[in-house]
Amino acid sequence: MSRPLIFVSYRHGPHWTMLADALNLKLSAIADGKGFDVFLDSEQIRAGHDWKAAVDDALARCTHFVALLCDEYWVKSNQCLRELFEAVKRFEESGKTEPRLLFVLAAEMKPELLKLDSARQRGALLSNDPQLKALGDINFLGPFDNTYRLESLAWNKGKRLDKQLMQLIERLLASGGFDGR
Amino acid sequence: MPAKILQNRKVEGGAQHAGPRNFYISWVQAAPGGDRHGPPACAGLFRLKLSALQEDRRKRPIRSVVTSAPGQQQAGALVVSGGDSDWTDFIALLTSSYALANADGSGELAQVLNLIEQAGDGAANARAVWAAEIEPCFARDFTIAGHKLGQLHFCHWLTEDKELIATTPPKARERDVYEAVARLLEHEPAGCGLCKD
Repeated sequence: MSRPLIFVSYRHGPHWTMLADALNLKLSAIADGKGFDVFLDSEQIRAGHDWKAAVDDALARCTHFVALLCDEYWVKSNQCLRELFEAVKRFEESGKTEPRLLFVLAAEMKPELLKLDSARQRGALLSNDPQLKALGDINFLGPFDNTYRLESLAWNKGKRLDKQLMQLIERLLASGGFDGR
Repeated sequence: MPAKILQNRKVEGGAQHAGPRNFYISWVQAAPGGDRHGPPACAGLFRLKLSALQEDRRKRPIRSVVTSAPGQQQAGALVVSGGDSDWTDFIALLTSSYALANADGSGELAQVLNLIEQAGDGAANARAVWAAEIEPCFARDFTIAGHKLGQLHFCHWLTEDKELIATTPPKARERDVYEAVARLLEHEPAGCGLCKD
């Protein structure tokens, strides 16, 4: 049986790439110990490889889809939306079993206002059993503060970011689909 | 006996060694996404504090304190695993980047674990391996040289459940390293349950 595959979806840009790299680093360090694989486009796709095919293959196989959400992810990146919609499509078609949709608040935003209606109307999302109306319908991985309120990743505060990433990974591992969990 | 050290999931040494102590402090530069400043600062602080001492609590002289050179592990130039290496205490400053640098078996800790596994009784007992987490990371889930660190009994796990944070303000970092160095020097193999058997 193949190992769980965590797909990290993020908006390319100085802050978001750094956050994705930091998350990928902590995940990759324990990937063998915990028995899973990680897909981050900048790490897994080498020069000369078919970039789109590699992403599509990972999207089709991933068991956990982790999106670092920010307004730019939603508004400015067709590639991010393509990855997100592909993951949502698989999620709905599988009866909400796979991949696990796991969102991370990478910046201050209102996910409940990010609705999927227009994507369904224009055919970007087709499902006989639509499960999601807005991204706010998905449980967030975090990060959460001490009072369990969702907060955004502290990309400019190294120590706090480290703690947030630890929390995210602990919640990710507890989300199911990994050996022994 | 030496071959059983890792089979017993036990990483230790130094119990019967009475000569000088030579410390080797192993660290790696951060991979993308990691803290670039913490590991070299932490290694430098370990070196400074150990170099300032003449001897440990058991009156063993401290002869040398060496750290990895920047980029050394990534470049594959290792100085700890050769037959002419005379380190007695290997200190691994664990970070996620450190785990990745050692994942394929070519890093310093990977080679040290292999060395201990292959060493004869005398060599094994003359060497001690210490582990210190210097950033929030899942160090016990790191897999190095085929061994999951959490399943090895480092009697010398310098940080236990407490993080030794290299990214903390310098004063806190200095205090944490000082405490770790004190544990390095106070450890008494004869009285340690993990070292004795």
